[in-house]
Amino acid sequence: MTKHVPKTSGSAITGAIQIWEDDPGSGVVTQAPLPDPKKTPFAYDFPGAAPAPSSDHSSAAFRYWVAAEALRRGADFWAPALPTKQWQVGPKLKVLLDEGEDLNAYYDRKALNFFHGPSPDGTVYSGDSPDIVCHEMGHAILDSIKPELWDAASQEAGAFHESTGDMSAILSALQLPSLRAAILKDTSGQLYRSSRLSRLAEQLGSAIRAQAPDAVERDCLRNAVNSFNYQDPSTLPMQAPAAQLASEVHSFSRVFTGAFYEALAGFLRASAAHADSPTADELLAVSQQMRDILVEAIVNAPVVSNFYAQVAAAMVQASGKANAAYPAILNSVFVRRAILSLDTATSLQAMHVASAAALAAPAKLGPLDKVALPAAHYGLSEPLVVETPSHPRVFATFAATVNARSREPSGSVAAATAFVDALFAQGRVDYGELRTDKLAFAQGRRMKTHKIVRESGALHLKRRLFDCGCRHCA
Amino acid sequence: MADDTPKDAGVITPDTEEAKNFIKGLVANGQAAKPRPDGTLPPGATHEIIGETPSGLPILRRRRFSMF
Repeated sequence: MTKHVPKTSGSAITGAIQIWEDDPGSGVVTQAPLPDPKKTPFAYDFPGAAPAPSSDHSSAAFRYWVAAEALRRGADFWAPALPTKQWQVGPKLKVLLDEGEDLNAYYDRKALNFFHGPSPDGTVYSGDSPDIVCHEMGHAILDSIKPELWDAASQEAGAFHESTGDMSAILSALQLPSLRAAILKDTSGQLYRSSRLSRLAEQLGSAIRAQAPDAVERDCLRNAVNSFNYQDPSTLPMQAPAAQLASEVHSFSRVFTGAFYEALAGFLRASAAHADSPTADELLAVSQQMRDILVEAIVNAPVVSNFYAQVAAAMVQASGKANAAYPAILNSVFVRRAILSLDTATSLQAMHVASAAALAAPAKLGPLDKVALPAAHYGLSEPLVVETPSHPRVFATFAATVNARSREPSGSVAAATAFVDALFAQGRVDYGELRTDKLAFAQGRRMKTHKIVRESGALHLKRRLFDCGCRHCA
Repeated sequence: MADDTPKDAGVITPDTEEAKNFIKGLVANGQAAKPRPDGTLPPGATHEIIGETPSGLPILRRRRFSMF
């Protein structure tokens, strides 16, 4: 890899500073405007006085401004898309650049915490890596828009937090013009190739590898170009060498990050004027579109056990606004990675914009959630929007198993699917104005308790009446 | 350092299979630990063990997210 380390004069730079582009392990330095950590929204609080900028790469002052610039750039990147204008902890987030010895970094709802530790090449500082500071900042961004994930007892929810950190590092890095140009050159315009954009935290990875050779990738901490596919995390080993997938949140995060990165590359090919030679400006635009899609999906995704699929489906729904080609790209990637089932992807693909808008309509007086069920087996050519039994469970009411133990209730979608299947099978649905020559079920003479109606462009199943339940009611 | 974890931080109990798997994984990976005398968590730990159920599984509270 070519390194472009300039001479170090030790003199202060007026109006501009030197920074690592992505990680000290890559060793590429560029210049950036002097950042204002206190700028709002999403201000930072660095304790103590700011040091004069330095181009001495081993100095604390250099590390200070590397972190300050990366954090400012990252927050400025995310802020326009977010529904909030402050951190989960308030308007300012504390940044602690050296909290002692540890080959790690943390976000703890009080501060972003960085450390130092040994490596074969000397002491490494986690706060010296834009990859790492933008990963931790990503945790804080996600916490500001989805605070319920903090306490979620879910491997997928925890892993998604880690993936968001890595996605934040990648997208924040793409806001540097020099890095965009370099990555396009290094990959010959084929973004889905291993590069210093896809490789995260090379230096920290090297330090950890010296102590635990199989704990990290061979050339970085984690790589967004990977071939990991979704598996139920409860079936995976709790820990495994980096070459294998485990349910441990950092390991499992690579499934979603890989899909994200593959989709990012797909977006670039689809939107570039020349697919094989995209420009840096086109890459910038795609990074901002991906940000908007991710944020909308995260905000809309319910926190349930299959959180990856929820976010993925919401990304597919959100992406059509940016580019008509994006939903199919996302579907393809998520199905290939087994994050979405083929049925789900097919259903999402069939759902047109009006239908998606109907699903996203703001709630009034606590209505039940809606879901678009695949409806081909009902003889319908598009999904059917139904309400699910999804209100909060005020009382813990369970059915019983044969040995009188509590039976976990079905998920709301499973319950809705079973209910609608039964309605169609029993001939209880009036197809209304729809063409009936392709219907899988005869209309019959039974009392129709429900009717299919088109609202806001989507097919909805509506109850018409309650009946006595007598099989012979006509 | 005193424990000033936010008061609204939730408690993670092993009351579902998913939660049990989650907790067992954290313990196996050293990501759940009891705090040190100064209140800080050991390196790599993200969750504090704040108790245990009658069956012996720990009850946790998240304190932070980590890079690795």
